[in-house]
Amino acid sequence: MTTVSDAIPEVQESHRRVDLLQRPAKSTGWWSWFTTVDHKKIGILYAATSFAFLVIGGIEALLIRLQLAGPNGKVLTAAMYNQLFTMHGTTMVFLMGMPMAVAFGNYLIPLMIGARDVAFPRLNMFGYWVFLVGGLFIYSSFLPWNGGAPNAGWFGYTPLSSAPIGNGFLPGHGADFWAVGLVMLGIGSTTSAINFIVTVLNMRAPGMTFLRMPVFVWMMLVTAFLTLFAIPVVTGALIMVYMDRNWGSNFFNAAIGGDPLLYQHLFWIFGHPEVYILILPAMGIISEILPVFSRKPLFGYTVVVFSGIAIGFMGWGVWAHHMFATGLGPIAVSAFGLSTMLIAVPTGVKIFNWLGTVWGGALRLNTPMLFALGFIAMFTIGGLSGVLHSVVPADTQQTDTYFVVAHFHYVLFGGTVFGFFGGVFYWFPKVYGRMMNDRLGKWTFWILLVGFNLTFFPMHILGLEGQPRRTYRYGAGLGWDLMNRIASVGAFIIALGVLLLLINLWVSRKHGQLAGDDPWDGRTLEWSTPSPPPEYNFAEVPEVEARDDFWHRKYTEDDRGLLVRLPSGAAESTGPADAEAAHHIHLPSPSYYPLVLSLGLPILGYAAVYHALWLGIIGAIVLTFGAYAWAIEPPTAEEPR
Amino acid sequence: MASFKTKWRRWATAAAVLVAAVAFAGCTNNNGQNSLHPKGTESRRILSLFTPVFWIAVVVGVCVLTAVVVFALKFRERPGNTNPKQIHGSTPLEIGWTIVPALILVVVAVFTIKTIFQMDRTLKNPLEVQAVGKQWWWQFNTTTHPYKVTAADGTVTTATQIVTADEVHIPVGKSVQINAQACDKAFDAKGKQTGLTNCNVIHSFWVPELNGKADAVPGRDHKWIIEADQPGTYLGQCAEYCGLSHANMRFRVIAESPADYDKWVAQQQQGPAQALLAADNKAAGNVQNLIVNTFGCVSCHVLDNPSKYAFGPNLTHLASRTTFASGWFDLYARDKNGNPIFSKPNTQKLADWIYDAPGQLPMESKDCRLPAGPNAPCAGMPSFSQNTPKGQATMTKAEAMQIAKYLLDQK
Repeated sequence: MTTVSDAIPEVQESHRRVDLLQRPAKSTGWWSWFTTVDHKKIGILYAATSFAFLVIGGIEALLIRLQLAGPNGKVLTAAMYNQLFTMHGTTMVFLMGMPMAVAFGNYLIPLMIGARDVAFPRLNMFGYWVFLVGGLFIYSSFLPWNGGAPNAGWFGYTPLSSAPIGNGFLPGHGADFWAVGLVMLGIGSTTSAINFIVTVLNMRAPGMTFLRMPVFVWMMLVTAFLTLFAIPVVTGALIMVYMDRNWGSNFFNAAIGGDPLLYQHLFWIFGHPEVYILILPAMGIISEILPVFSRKPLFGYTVVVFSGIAIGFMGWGVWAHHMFATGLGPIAVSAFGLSTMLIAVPTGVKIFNWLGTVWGGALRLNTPMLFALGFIAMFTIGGLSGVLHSVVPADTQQTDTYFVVAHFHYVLFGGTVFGFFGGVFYWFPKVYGRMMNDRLGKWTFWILLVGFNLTFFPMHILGLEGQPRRTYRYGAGLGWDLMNRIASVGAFIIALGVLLLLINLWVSRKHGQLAGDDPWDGRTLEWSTPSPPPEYNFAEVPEVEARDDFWHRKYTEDDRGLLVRLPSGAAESTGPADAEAAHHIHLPSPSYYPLVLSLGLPILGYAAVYHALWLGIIGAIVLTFGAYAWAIEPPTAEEPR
Repeated sequence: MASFKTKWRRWATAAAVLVAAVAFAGCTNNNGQNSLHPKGTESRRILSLFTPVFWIAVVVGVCVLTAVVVFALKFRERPGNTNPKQIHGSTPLEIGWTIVPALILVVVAVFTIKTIFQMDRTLKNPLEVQAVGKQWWWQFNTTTHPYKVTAADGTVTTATQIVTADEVHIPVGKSVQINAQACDKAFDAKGKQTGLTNCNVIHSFWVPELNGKADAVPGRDHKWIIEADQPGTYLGQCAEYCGLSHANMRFRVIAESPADYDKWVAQQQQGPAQALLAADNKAAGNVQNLIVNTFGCVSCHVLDNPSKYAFGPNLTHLASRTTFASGWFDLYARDKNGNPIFSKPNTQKLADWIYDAPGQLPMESKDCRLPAGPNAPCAGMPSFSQNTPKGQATMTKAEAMQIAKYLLDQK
């Protein structure tokens, strides 16, 4: 029997006595959330925090839509609007989209590959706390004495973002909070990426070969590699921005030979893989939902997996399509136009395979399935408008207009967020042992679908009619009033849908219908565990014999390709059949130090923003204490005697 | 089931009609800034490339969306459909739906690349306009034939450009080469370029009815061709986020017949209608004294030389323009068709602007009246009535009105 501690080198006896703080032991109660290293609890923390940021970013979006509901809006000042659209983008990308995917990955990857936890449980915990404190650090810029939130856009183009403080291009410390905060968040993303990669490569259950892995795990693996390679690039760019602003380094100062376009290249070499970091997890989620609710295997599993990998590679070769209007020259833009067209091919292949999965199935149109189908439809629209951007001359009309806003919201809302919401409805019963209300869920889906299209479809037309992005107002008499009004109404319909979802989550957690272990007749290993799964996930680590192993324990196919149910008993839940056996599973113990270490970062961040050496020293002490104490603390505490 | 289908069809029809109506609304918007209404060679080229690709996308999209809806309805689980055939995949299909989209894209690629290179052509003896992006207005340096500029003290120099702000004129039917930039060129006393000055943030030159966007990136010359094929006023707008007042950064390209264009050039090449300085280089009158000495307008603006630029817009022929303050405010009342009535100037609005610009448009100009250092903490026009720094004068409304009237005489 394999246990987690098998994967971790034996700890020397002498190290046990060096605990600096009394080691936390409890795995229940509110305090345990601060010390937990359980991948499932950390997954829930990621999800709850991402939802909180979804609400905050959503409120920012509503304020933006209120301001733009009519010409010459007076709801917000220009300064406030610029902060809000910057923070809306920053929040939705870094504080909602990425961590929400990590939430799914955290909770599900070990369960899906038959492992008891991730490879580095305390690093996992550290990643979460860095994400939380990084998010709070950026948002602390709204506090009145900090002089305003980031206001250079989520992309922070230089020299607007990088001109020295006091230059007048961009007043306030906002861009410093942004640059330093994103570096911090990057540390969290990198650690979780490393963790996922090592977990998937090393901790699969016996028999879980690569081509038996669930597609979601595959997509998270690709995402983790993209994150691992993309984050360092943007970190470098952000540090250059910080140095230009604070230390006069002039990387991006054209007057003395710096180059503002260098930043755009660096940002988009990160930024385009980032788009795939946001969409691939959701593609993985719907690749799990569609087969279950169609009662058919995924059509073309290997093709779906390999097209995901292809997207992961090709995603590195398209970055300059964000820069078609910067004057790169005809050869460069032709090359990047072609590569952008090329990446549409594997993306289209995925869509066709999903349709193939649904075709000829026996579809149960429950909420997760509605969201998955909605994903296919909305993502297709977003993908096609994306292909229009590969037509470079046309892109010079569309870029930086509302057409682009429409395009990426179809991809990231109609795609990513629909996928996430479908995943929430799908896996909620596993997490809480109770179903979410399906009737309310269907209402939520339709309300979101209508609200979403009302908000973002008209933006295609607004963009073609010449309305630029990132503008706090537009004049009267340009013929944009009606479409903007419709978009604003749609935004509030979306808000209603999200509200219903949150109510459903909150109420179902305690009062939902009991789910049982396998409410959807699932295919993958997580459904073989009790709901909610015990701390150790699997009392006995499963032996995997097929792709969709759990399904094959329940069904077999006759020679006409029809399903035949196997005698029950084959699919017994691997619950704590033997309490005695469960007692001997060694799990990593809770710890304080990842939290301590992460708390050092925002202190250092404030020191960097305000050039406060004393604060830097305090931050460095906290950081060093956390790191050393963590290093000498054994992964697993002594067994209580 | 039949009634369900009818109902479904009704909904689908309603949705299709709605989408069509919305799309039609897009095609009929005559706002002067509509990329679907090309009025020049380049914008036509773009639209005629965009349109077929757009319709291909529509066809693909309609097919996929229809498939989603039809499959969802047709393959619902119901009695008799609970045990679907287990299909794991199909190699011919996979090959098919990889190759067919790739072939479509090859065709799109051929036309795309052809258009990219057509639009990148080099003009022979072009009419050149430097479009320099500033926070938050555009400076246009139009190259002209050499002409003489006479200074107040009688010195005569030869110039080859006219400098305007917010509005630029071009002749109809002629390809004009725009050089989008974000820095001014610095010259030494002999007229040799020494480097760049007044470098700003990135802006983007965009007149949708004439061409796509050309970013103005500090340190770069972005060559971009516009050609209008009929007279008219084409609206432009900065399309790269450039800070606080980005939304207000509009401009106009006025295309006119070659004869009218020549008249415009000749008129712009004139000296100021009213002298700013007397022959001794002192202010030529009361209002000129306000401009030169009391409020130091001349430290940012040029008012008596059409060929020079400074930190702020050149105002030598302000009254010949139709708008001011980055094209956001009308300088004259407009008739029903939107044409300016030159006999009815908006003197009051201009005076308000001079009196307290940050009260009219958002500006980062709190410290603009302080002595400028190497990094002047300043973007936009300062207020002359609020937060006056020590040692400087606070403007009265009457003074603002005097200056506005003076400027409106500068035809």
